[in-house]
Amino acid sequence: MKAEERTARITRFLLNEMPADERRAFLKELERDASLAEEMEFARTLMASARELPALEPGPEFLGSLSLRLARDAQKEQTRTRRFGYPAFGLVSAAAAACIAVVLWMKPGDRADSPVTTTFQVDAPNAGSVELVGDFNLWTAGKTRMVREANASVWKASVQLPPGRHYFQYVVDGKRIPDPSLPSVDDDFGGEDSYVDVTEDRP
Amino acid sequence: MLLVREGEKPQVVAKAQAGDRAAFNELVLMYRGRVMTWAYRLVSSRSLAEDVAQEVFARVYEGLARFRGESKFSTWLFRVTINCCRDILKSPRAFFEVADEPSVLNAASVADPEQTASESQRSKRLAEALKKLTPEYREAFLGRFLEDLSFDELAWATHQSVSSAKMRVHRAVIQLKGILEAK
Repeated sequence: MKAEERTARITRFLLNEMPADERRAFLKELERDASLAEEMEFARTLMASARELPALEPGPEFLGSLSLRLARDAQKEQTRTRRFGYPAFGLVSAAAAACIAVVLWMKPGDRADSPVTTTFQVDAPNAGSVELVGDFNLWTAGKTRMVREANASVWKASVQLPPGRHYFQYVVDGKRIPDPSLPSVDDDFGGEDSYVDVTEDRP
Repeated sequence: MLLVREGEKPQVVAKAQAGDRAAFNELVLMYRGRVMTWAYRLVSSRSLAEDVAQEVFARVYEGLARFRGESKFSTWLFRVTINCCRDILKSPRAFFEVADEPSVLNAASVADPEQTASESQRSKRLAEALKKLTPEYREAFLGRFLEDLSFDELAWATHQSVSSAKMRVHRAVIQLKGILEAK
């Protein structure tokens, strides 16, 4: 067995991740294999020591500094949205079977903070189903299904969004993809989220 | 549906996701110690760790709406902390700050986390040994031995394959053995 697999088994044993049968077999193996037993004891000591490492707390000014930082970030975001808030009509083709996406702001609201009807369009000619997930529906599949027009390859959905930045993805036949025509960010989950800046006034 | 770890409060996460600032503040209060502890163990500098913790919660605030509950909240937080630590360790400031750390810790104005009464002798030795590991082995060790992440979770949090995560945990253990036995 590879050395890393041995270590992995030891930690799985120590963290109670082994099913009962495997655990029994591992215990028997420990009786027969002195070097495995020695590695196990070392790992057990390491784990105990790691749990004794003291927990730290940030300094007393932490919460105040964080509040200031968030307020500053929000101010920057507002400025950025005012300057760049109404992106041009996007129409970008991706390779082969891919998606052409357009996001269109249709109807500005009456008040500064009133929702804006926002239509998402994606060209997915070979797709069997397309959905829209984003912060506005808590990324829940099944809430915002996109509809294909008769004899067309474009799928559409309109949602009411308050002004501000919104992150979203399309779910094309169960696979989450960003919008190729819009900016995206690393989503800290191993993928990318597209975003749109919705404003209630056209530039 | 959110995956829940013991001690986690998914309802607070859900409220914060919906824009409830009080719920976000509660999350900060709940997790600031853990984030600070991870960050300190990863960057070996209290002042850098404070900056990392600020950055982590700023990113969480900005990205919380995108948290889809596909991992435990604490695992996501661990991943964001790792991302922030990697970023700060690339900065020129980190180079000098880490190099200056022993004197920083000895300065009277800064509490030395290694001197707290609750720390046993063996954990002090481990804390010192951890500083000698490369950041990726520290990440692997902390994720597995301190946070009890499964290998799948560790792989996700550290942007590695599962086999690579296992390899890193193994190498971290081997290196720690060498360091601790050499003392």
